[in-house]
Amino acid sequence: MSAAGDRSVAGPGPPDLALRARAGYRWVAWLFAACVLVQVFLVGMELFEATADESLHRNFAYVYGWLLPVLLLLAKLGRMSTGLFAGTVLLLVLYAVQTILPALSKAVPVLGPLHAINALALFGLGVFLAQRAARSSAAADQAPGSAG
Amino acid sequence: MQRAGRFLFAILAWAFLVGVVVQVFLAGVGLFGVSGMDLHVGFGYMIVYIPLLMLIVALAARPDRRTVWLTVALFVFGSVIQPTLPYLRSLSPFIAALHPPNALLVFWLAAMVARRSLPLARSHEATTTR
Repeated sequence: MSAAGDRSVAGPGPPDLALRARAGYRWVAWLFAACVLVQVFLVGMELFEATADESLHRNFAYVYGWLLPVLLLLAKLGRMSTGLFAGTVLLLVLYAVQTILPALSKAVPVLGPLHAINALALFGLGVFLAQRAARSSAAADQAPGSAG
Repeated sequence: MQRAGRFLFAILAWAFLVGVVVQVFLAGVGLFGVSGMDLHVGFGYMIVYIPLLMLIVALAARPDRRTVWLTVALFVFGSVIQPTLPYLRSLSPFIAALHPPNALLVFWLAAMVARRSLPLARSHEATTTR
């Protein structure tokens, strides 16, 4: 997942749309990680009885889930490296798994705790992709003939 | 001494990272009713001292400044703030509710320190000026 693996970095530099998409990707990836933090805070609110509304945590997941298809689109438009694109797909898959784990845990209780572990993975991967995208953009900016 | 310190620092850093993952799993075990929260609380007291040990070992390991500051942050957020937050429930449930998101922060810090500890363990020279 190195910046050197970017398809556009080695050439004359990415076009304007790709540069904007990369900047957008970075922001959306950070926003996603921040939303995971908020999502986990809402669990804490239920757990420590700061709220009686038990649907807050579940409903908030539907508020920011749409960020992931946007992230995938931006990765495509930004002509991101294969590693970053694969990481984005993995994030989408982990998010899909995350949404079904609570329901699955009713049939197989052992799967329930994986919901908490998967939240770590979602947050960690979100931050990792945001950081990698930032390095990738910096490398593209330094490429000869870059529009940025 | 320094080489042994760096090796030990890396072991502690990775042990804490794995410990955080196990701790979050145990929180899930409690939340989904597989077992009570006793395991989560008990295991928390087992790993809470690791960042303090890392700080002490860092004196011998002499990692770069960024790693030292990340370890200090790990100690503050992982060993001081994280175990204190649940006890603030009676004061403010909203502050206590920061316990789970702070766990994510601790995980992130632990992952960064663990990642940085590997090249440190492999290196033989002091890098205190970096």
